[in-house]
Amino acid sequence: MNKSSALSSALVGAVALITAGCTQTPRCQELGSCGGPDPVGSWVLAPGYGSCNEDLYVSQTDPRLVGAEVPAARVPAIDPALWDWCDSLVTSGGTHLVVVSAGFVYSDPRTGSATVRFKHDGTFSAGLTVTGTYLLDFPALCMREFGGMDGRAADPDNDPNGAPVNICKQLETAQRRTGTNTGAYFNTTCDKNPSDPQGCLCAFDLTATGGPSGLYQLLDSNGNVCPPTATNCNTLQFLPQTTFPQKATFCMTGDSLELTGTDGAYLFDNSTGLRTLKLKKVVANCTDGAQGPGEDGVDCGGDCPNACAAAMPPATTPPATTPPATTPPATM
Amino acid sequence: MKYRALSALAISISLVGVHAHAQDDDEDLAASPGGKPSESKKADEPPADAGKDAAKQEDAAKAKAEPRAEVSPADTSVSTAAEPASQRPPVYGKRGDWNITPYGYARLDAIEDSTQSFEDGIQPNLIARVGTYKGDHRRTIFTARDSRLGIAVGAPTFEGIKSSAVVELDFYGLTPTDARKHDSVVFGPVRIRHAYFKLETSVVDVIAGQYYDLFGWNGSFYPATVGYLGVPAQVYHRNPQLRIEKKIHLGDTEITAAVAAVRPGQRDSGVPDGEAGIKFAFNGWNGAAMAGFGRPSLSALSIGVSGLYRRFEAPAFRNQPGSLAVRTNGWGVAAQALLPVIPIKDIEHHGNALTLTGEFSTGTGIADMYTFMDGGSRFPLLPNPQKADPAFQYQANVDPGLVTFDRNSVLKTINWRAVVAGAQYYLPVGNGRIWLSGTYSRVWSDNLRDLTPFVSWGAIFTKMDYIDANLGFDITPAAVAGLSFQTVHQQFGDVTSPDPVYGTMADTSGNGKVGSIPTVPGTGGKFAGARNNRVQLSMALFF
Repeated sequence: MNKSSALSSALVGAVALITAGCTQTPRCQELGSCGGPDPVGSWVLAPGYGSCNEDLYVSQTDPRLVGAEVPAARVPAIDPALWDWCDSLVTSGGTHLVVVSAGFVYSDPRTGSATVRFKHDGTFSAGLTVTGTYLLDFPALCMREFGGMDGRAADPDNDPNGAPVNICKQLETAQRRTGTNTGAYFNTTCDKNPSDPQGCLCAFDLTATGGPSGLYQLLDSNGNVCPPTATNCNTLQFLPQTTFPQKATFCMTGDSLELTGTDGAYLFDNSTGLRTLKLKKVVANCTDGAQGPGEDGVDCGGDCPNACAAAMPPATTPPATTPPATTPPATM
Repeated sequence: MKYRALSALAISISLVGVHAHAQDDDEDLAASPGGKPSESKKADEPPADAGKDAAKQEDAAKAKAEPRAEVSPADTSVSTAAEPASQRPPVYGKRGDWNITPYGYARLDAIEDSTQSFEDGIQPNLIARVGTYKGDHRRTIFTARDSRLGIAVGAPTFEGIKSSAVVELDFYGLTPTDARKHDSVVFGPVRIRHAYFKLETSVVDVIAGQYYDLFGWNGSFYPATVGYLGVPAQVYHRNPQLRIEKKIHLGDTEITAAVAAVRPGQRDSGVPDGEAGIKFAFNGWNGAAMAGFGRPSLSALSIGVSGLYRRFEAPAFRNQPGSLAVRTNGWGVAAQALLPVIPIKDIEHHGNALTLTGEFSTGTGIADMYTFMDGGSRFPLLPNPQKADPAFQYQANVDPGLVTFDRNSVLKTINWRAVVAGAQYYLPVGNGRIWLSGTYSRVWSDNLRDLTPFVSWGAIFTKMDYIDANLGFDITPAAVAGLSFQTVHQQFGDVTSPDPVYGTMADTSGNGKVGSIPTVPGTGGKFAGARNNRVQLSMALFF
């Protein structure tokens, strides 16, 4: 190697080293990875505990454009576009203001509620609930351009002769019904937008629950499966059976369990960017006559010694998936 | 003699009126002459006055041959076939009276980015966010595509008209969308940077072809940086144009006034953009300045002001607009300065020279002037009252980032403001062989967020800050090595939830709104953002 090539190699190496510490600071700091024994039991978010989601932005995709995005041969591709000002809302001047309800879009969701249960039989289940209050902004164009107007009944289906209301309250009725039917968007209220009086602002509460279930096992720092009696393993490997295995480092101290997705992975491959959970162990009260944490039914199942009757519904029946951020209900 | 010069000018001006036929005309004009690079020019700036040296020689020779500007490339090929190329007679005059000079540089850039957001240049596309794969992982770039090759031609003076031409290429041509990364980098398709000719008369000078935009006085006030020009927020653009300049000398002060008709910023437009500017250069006060990663040149204390005006006309924002058009106007104003704080007398002795550069620009509908910037803006999707599936899409005839439709379907231009400040210092070591430079810039928009549906706020940036620090070393007067650190931060349009604070997101209510955190557009948190850090090692040999 001559001098110039040695110099070049040294400089390039220096460049790589200099930038090694220049990556962006993670929003969610890793929690402890001290490990511990098998975390059998039920764990929940509780006062003094918390979750951390990354601030992801998932661009909106419009299923209406599926057939339009593939241009014919020799035809230039269509320019990419941002989302619809109306958020898919279609209004008309007919008896029903809303012909197609708007999507309930949101970004940067938080995991406000979480329950993770590890059982002695080596199975786990996780119920993760993203929560928040969000706004939808409908310009005057969307509300008025196609015939919508004030002074009509809010609910023409159930109360066609109801008192006339403004256009935003007509919208509220339809949006509230759609949101409730999806099981994730509640308490929708719509009012005139102060900065666009001919338009409307709608607020809604998000409560979307989902999470995986399956088998789990403990791994040591070398990735080897730990024997049941081991106490120094620090990685949980989840085997949801219907998707790829997921790993999380953990630290269990007393009644606290900290989980962090390994090597930058999201916990449970969560599409909302859930990175860490700090959970508190709950002890089921199996004699209080009510279904509480750690129970599958009223004073039964879960951590209780009494098994529930077969017909008794579980306390947390997680849907198959958590809806991704900014996904309209039509795609849930 | 003057009337011939004026005739040439009149012919050029007439091209504006028949711009629809400009491409046909270009073939004829391309045969016009050029010159050689001026040593006093910055490396990034092509030799616009390249014909002067040859022209001076020709003043004495007084060429008598008739011009043959009408000779087409086809004619030339026939002539070449009939006799060896070396024997082909010049278009007019004697062969030795033509000055043909190749110039350029071969360059290597080795880059390490902290994210996977950019290609070679820090072009203002969106930076990948933390928490995403591209935002958390680095990217290494090795490229020689910024190497350049140019040819400057100076023709003999003919009846008082000095003429010159420049054709300059680099290797950033477009690659097919299905090209492998290897192909786009290693093959490096050729791209036109400059292709223009210049006529200098006693009345005015005319530049015709693709050259730096007059808006921002491109080519005269660039910061010194190892990074690629234009740096974020810098007015940096080339355009096909017809420019008329007039220089006036008042003692040591040179005043240059210019107007230009320029390719429209809109993709399909019926009206060329108009640009105008005036520049003052005080030649008694000179410093050392380089453009980007170039060679320092003797540069006078200068101040420039320029403006741009353009027209947008687009189909109405509806499914079937027919011929219905909506219109709006764009404009821009820019001011630049080059200040030799520690002046020098000649470029051969530029040790201890300190020079500052600055730029402020403001306008609307001018995002393209900032080197591909669009802020992430795109046209919104059309409302779909007919419930068409697939939905209708708006057939835009304007490139994204210049205009868009607001919440009431009104065509609006997007505002941008920008500042760039640079400093360059040549150490008194080895006669300025070692140099330091730094650049700060910011560009921001006060209406892009308002013009974007709130669902897409995460797809735009409304502010970008850029800082670089550079160290350069002249291995020889022609071979240069530079090391640069560059950091750029973008503020996006969406508002994040409050930072995670453990212990406050408790599930206590049990009412279905457990741990609820209000996340409402415009409230509750702070604007999301992302940062990319870059270290760049560049080496080049100039010729």
